[in-house]
Amino acid sequence: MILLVVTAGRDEGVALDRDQLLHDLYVEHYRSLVRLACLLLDDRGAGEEAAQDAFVRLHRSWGRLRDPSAAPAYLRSTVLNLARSGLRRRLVARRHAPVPVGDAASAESIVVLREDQQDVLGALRALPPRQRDCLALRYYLDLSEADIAATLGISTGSVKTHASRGLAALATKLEARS
Amino acid sequence: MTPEDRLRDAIHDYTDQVEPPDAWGRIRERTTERRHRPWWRFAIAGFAAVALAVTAVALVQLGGGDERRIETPAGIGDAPSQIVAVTAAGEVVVLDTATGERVRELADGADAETTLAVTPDGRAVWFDRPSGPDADPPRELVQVPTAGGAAEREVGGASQPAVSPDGRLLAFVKYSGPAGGSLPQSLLVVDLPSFDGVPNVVGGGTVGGEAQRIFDLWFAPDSRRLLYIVDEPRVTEIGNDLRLDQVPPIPTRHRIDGYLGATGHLLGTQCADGTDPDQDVQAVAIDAQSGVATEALFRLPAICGQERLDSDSSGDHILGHVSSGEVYGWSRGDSEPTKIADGILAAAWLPKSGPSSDVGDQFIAVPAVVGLQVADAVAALEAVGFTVEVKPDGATEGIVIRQCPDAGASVPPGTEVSLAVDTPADPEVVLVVCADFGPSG
Repeated sequence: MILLVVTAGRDEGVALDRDQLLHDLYVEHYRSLVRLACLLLDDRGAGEEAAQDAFVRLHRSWGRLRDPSAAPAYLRSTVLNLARSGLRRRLVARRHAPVPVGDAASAESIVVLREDQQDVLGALRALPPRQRDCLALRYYLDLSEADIAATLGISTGSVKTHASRGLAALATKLEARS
Repeated sequence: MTPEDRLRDAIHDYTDQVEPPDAWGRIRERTTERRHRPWWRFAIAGFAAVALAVTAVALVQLGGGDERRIETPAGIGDAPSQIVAVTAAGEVVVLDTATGERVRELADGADAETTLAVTPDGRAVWFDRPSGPDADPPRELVQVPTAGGAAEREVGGASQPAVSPDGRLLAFVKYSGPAGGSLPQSLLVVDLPSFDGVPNVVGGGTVGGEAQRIFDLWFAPDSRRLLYIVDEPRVTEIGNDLRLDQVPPIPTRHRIDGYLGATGHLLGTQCADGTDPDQDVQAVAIDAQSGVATEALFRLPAICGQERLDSDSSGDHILGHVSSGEVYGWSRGDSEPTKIADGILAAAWLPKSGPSSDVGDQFIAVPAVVGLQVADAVAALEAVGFTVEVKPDGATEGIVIRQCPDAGASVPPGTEVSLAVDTPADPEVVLVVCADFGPSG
């Protein structure tokens, strides 16, 4: 019985640490994760939803996280995964379980961009997912190639390839439009 | 301004305008909820456990004291030992389910939207992938042998492959228009053994209407009907030349992931706790007529609505893939699914009759040579260790019009491959009959 009490106490301590660390991560990263998801999804409600989901998932997976310093990469990776699969499955998922999002205003209604900027972001969103993710992580979050590789679970060589191909495709598309 | 500068400028102008409201309270609520589950959730879990126990007892009794049934509830066979998966880098690979280790690489260029369709004999996998950054239409189908080797067949402008349980038919979505699957789309069904990229259509139809798009596609266990998802799951007979949007939907609130093997039930998911999207996902068996869930199978740790399931042909073993990249395996009798691997974008069972580690070295896939000049076909086959018989005897000119064994068949190296050649010099009728090479077991 004593052993049980001690174990329960330790679990509670671990949970408190985890909550504190999760809050620190929230303060530091939540806003940028929402912005990253909005950038890819062009939908404010879905962007917030993806970022919140990433924190909830991190909380659930905490025990499996070998290195706490990997948490930001885990959050970014989850947001990108959710954004990617969200594009395909959002329709079905929403019908399946409507998500209360509070402020459901779409990004279009709150973000004002010049036409040429809209063209650039439209071309970015139309890129193959891996190229799009590499460019978003590089030009929005200014991540190093090593950090992008850790986030996407690919080699730094692949990051270079995807980024340069993405940028070349983007340039071609923009040239065709102008 | 360089494209890089333009991109940076647009991204920062966009993101600077997104100012999300504080959401810590909401996240905190969702994370603590799981630690302090209300008592009635335990009551439901207890009830479910009792229900399962009752089912197990009933099965044992039906088994008439069969010892093996008691040891292996409901007579479950072994789960397939390998899966086909798409890695985060877009590679299509074979993984070992016990270790999660990579057994071999099959192809690359796949992505998170890739659909995997493994032939029932486990010898080949069809998948779709982006054709290229500016390709229009944007996706293509590829068939690769699971034993490794070059792509055997490719179809441009198509996606969502499905192979029938009897292995005779391939269904896929063909883009009729340009640009990202613009409408209308056609759902095509072709004779798989003879399919060489030019659709010899067995059945299909078009889907129209604004914002309609075929998301997913599966064959029914009888290989004669197709289940597909537009905005609601629908079932249509193959061969009907009809507008698919006129097929009545199956009334269900569940997200459908095809059939539960040969059981005739549909396989689907629901949010584990009713409509709460923050909770785990519950995999369920669904009555194919009424759309009502008839059996709870297992829970997956996933954001509800973001998961994908794949059943083996028995319906006893199910793969669950969640959007954070983890793949789980579950077999009837398991209390919960077991994690197989992570960093995965899509996954499907590789049936056991496919090349396992001990026969993988003994069997190789026959390349596709129909349509090639006979000299090229002979060279391609001999290069990978086959001997070749050409009919009419010794023809050196002409196009190969038939080959035996068929492309993709898994046979021992050194097997004689017969080629029928349409030769201008000798227009006699050539008959090449394929022997039954059969699955390797």
